Parts: sequence; structure tokens; C-alpha cells
Amino acid sequence: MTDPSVGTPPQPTHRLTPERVRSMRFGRTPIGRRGLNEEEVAQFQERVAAELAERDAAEAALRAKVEHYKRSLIQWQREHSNDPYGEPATGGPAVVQPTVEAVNILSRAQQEADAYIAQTQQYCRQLADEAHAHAEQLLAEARAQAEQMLAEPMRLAKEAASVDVADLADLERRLTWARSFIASLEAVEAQLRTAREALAYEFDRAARVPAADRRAG
Amino acid sequence: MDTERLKRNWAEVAAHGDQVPLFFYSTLFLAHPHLRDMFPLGMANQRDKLLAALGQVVSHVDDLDAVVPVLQQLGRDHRRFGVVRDHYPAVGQALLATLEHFSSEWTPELARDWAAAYDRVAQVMLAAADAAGEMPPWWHGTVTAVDRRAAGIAVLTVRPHAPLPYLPGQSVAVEVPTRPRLWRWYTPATLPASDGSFELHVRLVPGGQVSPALVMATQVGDVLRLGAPVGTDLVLDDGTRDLLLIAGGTGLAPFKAIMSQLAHQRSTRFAHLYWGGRTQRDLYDLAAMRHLCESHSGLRLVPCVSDEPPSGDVAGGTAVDVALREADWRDHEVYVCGSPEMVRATRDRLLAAGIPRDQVHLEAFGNQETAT
Ligand SMILES: Cc1cc2nc3c(=O)[nH]c(=O)nc-3n(C[C@H](O)[C@H](O)[C@H](O)COP(=O)(O)OP(=O)(O)OC[C@H]3O[C@@H](n4cnc5c(N)ncnc54)[C@H](O)[C@@H]3O)c2cc1C
Ligand code: HEM
Repeated sequence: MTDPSVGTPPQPTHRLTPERVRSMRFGRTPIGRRGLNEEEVAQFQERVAAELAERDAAEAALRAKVEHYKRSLIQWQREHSNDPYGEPATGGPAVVQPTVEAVNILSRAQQEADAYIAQTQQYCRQLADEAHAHAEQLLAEARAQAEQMLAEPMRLAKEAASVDVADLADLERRLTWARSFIASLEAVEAQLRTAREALAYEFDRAARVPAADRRAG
Repeated sequence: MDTERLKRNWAEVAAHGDQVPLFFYSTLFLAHPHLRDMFPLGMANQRDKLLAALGQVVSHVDDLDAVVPVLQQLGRDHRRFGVVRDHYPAVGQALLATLEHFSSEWTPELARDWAAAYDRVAQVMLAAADAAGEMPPWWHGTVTAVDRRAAGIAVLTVRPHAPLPYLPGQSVAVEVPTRPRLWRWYTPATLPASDGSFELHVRLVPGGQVSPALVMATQVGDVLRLGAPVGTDLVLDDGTRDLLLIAGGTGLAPFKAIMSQLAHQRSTRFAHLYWGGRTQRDLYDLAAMRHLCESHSGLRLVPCVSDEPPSGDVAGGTAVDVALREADWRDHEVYVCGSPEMVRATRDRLLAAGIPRDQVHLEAFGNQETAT
């Protein structure tokens, strides 16, 4: 998958090797109380490393095979043709027609190479899909964590609010009580006033009557 | 030329499937080993293309005019592969040897007719290649910036070493140095800057041969090879109808270039861009697009997300859903670009909404189509 030109060794600096995957360390999120599950990450790293190793092996086998076929081809060409390798052909009638057998051998080699490439691509796609799924999962976890962290102060706020509410209710109750107390006080005051007025009237009458009674009596 | 006999013979040969191109290429490379180096290591894709092209040519062999534009484009494309006139006889010989091998009955007349048909096709391709002679067969372009965005997308800035004249909406074939001989189409997303450079928006297709290398491994200073710009489907007509542009993911690229052109020309054509992704993370170029739309009053952007609730100015739903929900577009010229599935689904919705077929322009970012 790196360099399709046959026989070129892989570029070690750009390549993700199993070792680099294993030795990779992830930072922790500063906000999270619950960070990544380290065991899960390690397991995932191990799987990626294993698959990378497998991929590298498949690639090496492919490269060796193609190299082999290439050498055989050059050999065959030297033996069967006087058209030197690398020089443009004019396509004139002098060209040797290869035998059906030779054509079939080369076809099989090409098919094998294609199969190796398809397999490697399949590996990559699978790896990418799994990594993607894993990332989605981490993201979902992080989101859940964030929501939980948001939920905590919200709960506290609600609690604080609920204390107020209780106070308010209490206050309301006391207020109502106080209001009814005042109202009853007012009622009593009104009754007292009426009673006092009545009393005053009676006194007033009493104060006047004795004179008349005395006059009459 | 007995065209009926040619077609019958082709049907018989083509029935052998993948064996046919396999035999063809092996014959070609054994007889002319130096040609092998012009092709990629893996040949699975190329085999399908050759059979498809041959099939198309043969089915039109008595009316080649119908395929002339395709053949001309193919002829111009072959300059990029390094193909020259001298290579054609070798391919013709291998083709005849292959046909002979798979035919139950091979006669000198049949051989002569095939040779004549191949020659006519080759002449059309060669004439087109010659006519393009003033244009370089390919350009080198230096990557001057790599901006990796969320969701596996890279925005590359590429500076061609010589002027590369493209129209907004056209695409160029790109070859990455680490993936020799694997050409893929990408669409310049800006007008050329004063030094000729332009943006490419590349989405990583998992397991793909080229896009992962472009997105993950490209570095500033890398030199890409670029083919001649092609494509007419998304290039604006010179009509006056207002425009509805519907993009999915990196399908934004041609429309960003087109809208830049409208802004640059102070065009009076109004353009509504509905740009969709699954989530907001997929809308990788939102800031630049907002900025562009503020620069010219005739541009309007509606970002859309299908898998997240709407928020702020980001609408909920696929781009076509949102567009059809908001207005009647039957008097607009409609352009659609994105993945093959997105383009297919969007086209069906547009036609069902009564938009005339000839007002709908499509480009799918698949890898089967050439950009013709
Ligand atoms: C005219 C045109 C313009 C294009 N412009 C752009 C552009 O500006 N930006 C951009 O990112 N791409 C663009 N593309 C797509 C691009 O050319 C490649 O097809 C894509 O990058 C995949 O290449 P690959 O080598 O990585 O995958 P390949 O190895 O070719 O394919 C691997 C697998 O992925 C599938 N596949 C291929 N392409 C896609 C896709 N787009 N979505 C889903 N699956 C896919 C294939 O069927 C195959 O099974 C354009 C295509 C065309 C035809
Ligand atoms: C009638 C003649 C020919 C036809 C119909 C034909 C057809 C095609 C087609 C359909 C493609 C795929 C194009 C694409 O991917 O965009 C292709 C690619 C190619 N052709 Fe030809 N071709 C012809 C002659 C030649 C000749 C003479 C050569 C020289 C050796 C050649 C070399 C190539 C190469 C190198 C590629 C690119 C391979 C790749 O990208 O996988 N072709 N051809």
C-alpha cells in the first residue's frame, strides 16, 4: 500500500509500525473526572498493532512475489526477444508473439498481485471502520461525561433553589397566618370598637337617665 | 466492413469476462515489457475500464460519431499517461491476438475488419491528442499549504508551476508521488490566486488507494502531477436564471469556485447554496463560506445537518430536504454535487418536485466516471 513501485523498501519515517502503536500514550482530558478506559485503549492498541503487523507481512510477501515475477519476466524476455528491455518498441511486425502459456503465467501473477492489493485495502477499510466506531464510542462517552458534569451543578442549583422554595412556602404560610392573625385582630378590634361604642352609649344613657328618674322617682 | 459480424464476434469474446483484459494486458506486456511501467501495479480497475471502453466503441462501430467526443477526451487524457503515437500499433496487435484467442472462428476478413475499426478509433484519439499539443500533457504543482480539518478532510493549496487554465466547476486529475500512475479527479475550489494556486478539498475514503495518502500524508513542499482540466457538467451556462446549488461534503468544492466567480463578476444571478453534512463537523469550511457569502449580496448559504438537531443558522435535514421545504425552485437552474448516492437521491427528489430535467445538472464524486 505504500509504494507500488516494485521492490522499493517502505519509508520507515512515515509508516505507522506496530511498535509505534504500542508505545503511543494518550493525554487525559483536563475536565474529565472519568477519563479514557485505559484497559480498553490498550486492548485497542494491541489489536491495531497486530493488524498492522499482519498487513506488513502481507505486503512483504506481495513485494517478494512481484519481484520474483519481474525477474522471471526479464529472464523470459531476454531469452525470447531481441528487443532490449527499456527501449521503445515501434510495434512493427518483428515483434515476437508470446505463447499462450507465457501469457497465462503472467495473467496469474497479475491476478495474485491484484488479490493481495484487494486484501490489503480490505484490511485498511476494516481498520478504519473499527477506529471510526471506537472514536464514535469515545465521543459518545465523553458527551455523556460532559452531560453528567453539567448535570451536577444543575442539580445543586436546583437543590439551592428548592431550599428557597421551601423558605418561600414557609414564609407564605407564616404570611398567611400573620394575615389571618391581623385580620382576626382587626375583627376583634372592630367588635371591641362596637362594644366600646355600645358601652359608651349605655354609659351616656345611664348618665342622663338618673336625672330624669330622679326627677320622676 | 461487416459491422454485424464485428458485434457478434465481440459478444462472443466479451462473454469470457475478466479473462479477456487479463489476456490482453499479459500479451501486451510480454511483447513490449517496457510498456508495463506506464500502468499501475494493481490492474483490477484498469481491466474494467478497457473492456467498458472497447464495448462502447464496438457497439457504436457503425456510427462512431456518437462516441467521438468520448474518444477525443480519452485521446487527450492519454497524453497524461505518457502515451504517444508509437504505442498504438503495439496495443492494436495485442488486441487482435486477444480477439483471435477467444474466438471460435477467426478469419482473415474478421482480422482485417477489427484492424480497420481499431485504426479509426486510434486516429480519432491521436488527432485529439495532437490538437491539444500546445497544452502540456501534465503540470507539476507544489503543495503550499495543508489544512487538515475535522471528519477526515484536508484542504490543500496547490501552486501549478505553469498556468493551468481551468473554469470554475471543472476538475483535474491528480497523481500523488507515493501513488505513481494512480490518477484521481479533484475539483479546484477557488479561482486561481495571483500566483495561479488553488484549493483542493479532499475527503478520505476509507481503504481507498489515493485519498488517504492525500489527506493523511501530504506535506507542504510535495509536488503533485496534475492533468488538463476537464468537465462541462457544472460549468455555468450563460443563462440568466437564478441558481440553486446543492452540495454534500466535499461536493462543496465546485460551488465554492463558482460562487467566488459570481462574487468576482458582481453577477446579478442569485445563488442559493444548500450545503449538507451528517453533523456540523462535516461542514469543514463554514467560516470561509460565510465570509464569501457576506462579500456579495447575491450569495446565500444554508448549512444543513441530517443527523443532528438544527442550531442557529444551521438547518435540520438533508440539503435537498431543506431546499424543497423552503421554496419552489422550478424557475431555477439547479446544480448538484456530492457522493454518487447523494447525487442520485437528490436528483430523484428534484425531479419529483417538478423541476425540469434539463435544468438539473449533476456531478457525482464516484471513481467510475471520468469527468467528461
Ligand atoms: C469529476 C470528479 C471530481 C471529483 N472531485 C473530488 C473532490 O473535489 N474532492 C474529493 O474528495 N473527491 C473528489 N472526487 C472523488 C475522487 O476522484 C476519488 O474517487 C476519491 O478520492 C476516492 O479515491 P481513492 O483512490 O481513495 O479510492 P479508490 O481506491 O478508488 O476506491 C476505494 C473504494 O471506495 C469507493 N469510493 C470511491 N470514491 C468514493 C466516494 N467519493 N465516496 C464513497 N466511496 C467511494 C470505491 O467504489 C471503492 O470501492 C471526484 C470524482 C470525480 C469523478
Ligand atoms: C483505441 C485505443 C485505446 C483505448 C480505447 C484506450 C482506452 C483506455 C481507457 C478507457 C482508459 C481509462 C481512462 C481513465 O481512467 O480515465 C485507459 C487508460 C490508460 N491507457 Fe489506454 N486506450 C487505448 C490506447 C492506449 C495505448 C496505445 C496505450 C499505450 C500503452 C494506452 C495506455 C493507457 C494507460 C497507461 C492508461 C492509464 C492506466 C490507469 O490509469 O490505470 N492506451 N485507456
